[in-house]
Amino acid sequence: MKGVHFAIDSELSNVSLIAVAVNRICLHLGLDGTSAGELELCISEAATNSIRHSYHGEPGHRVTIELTVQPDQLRIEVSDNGTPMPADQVRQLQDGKLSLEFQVDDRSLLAEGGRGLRIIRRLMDEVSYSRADNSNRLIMIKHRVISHSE
Amino acid sequence: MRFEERTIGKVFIAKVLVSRITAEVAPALKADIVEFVTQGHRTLVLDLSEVTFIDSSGLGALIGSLKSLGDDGELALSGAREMVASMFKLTRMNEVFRMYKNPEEAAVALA
Repeated sequence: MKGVHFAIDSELSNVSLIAVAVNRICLHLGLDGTSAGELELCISEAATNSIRHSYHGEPGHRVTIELTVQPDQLRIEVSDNGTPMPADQVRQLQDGKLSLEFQVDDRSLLAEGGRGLRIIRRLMDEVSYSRADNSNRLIMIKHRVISHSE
Repeated sequence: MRFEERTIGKVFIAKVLVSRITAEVAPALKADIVEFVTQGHRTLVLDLSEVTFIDSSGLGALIGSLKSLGDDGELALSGAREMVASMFKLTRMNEVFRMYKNPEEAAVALA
């Protein structure tokens, strides 16, 4: 199986290291710059969520990122051993009800957070979450758009 | 957070001198912009021309900064590169923030 496996300590300063690496790998695989940038963003959002929400910002824990290259898709799995994703969020993710819609009329009502998973849902072709053996797994799939042959 | 600061008329311009606005730096960015507001600046332009990547935490910091101005202040953006501009479009924040090509254009529009 063609792919790569990263592991970082749960510190926010480590997130960019993987995000930048995945962007470069995507370009190497022939994805266009926009798609590579979108995958970089999704990795950044998912790993940040693991650190912030699963591990509550506490360093010293492990976040793993597994990128698998398949002929027709890229599969990215972000795992951690922290707190499970809240049930209502899992349900919204599965129902496809996570939207980025909002009312722009009143700036005081604009949310400062809560967009990470919504962005992932919007940019990736498939997103799923599972919890097993005390581990959270977020699986993101992007169908491949090849701009030149590998 | 590192900025290059200047004013054009009453418009305060802060050029962000980091390339990635992520969760790592978002709290510092917001704190610094809120500090500019506290110092009395009511019309601000954040020059993002050196920024190559922004995530939702960075966006959240900008939204929090905008909210710190209340209803009568303005925080506009200039020089957004392709990735940054598409992030604003994706989240529809391009409908919330005024976005300009460069600080000079923003200063004229906001004067």
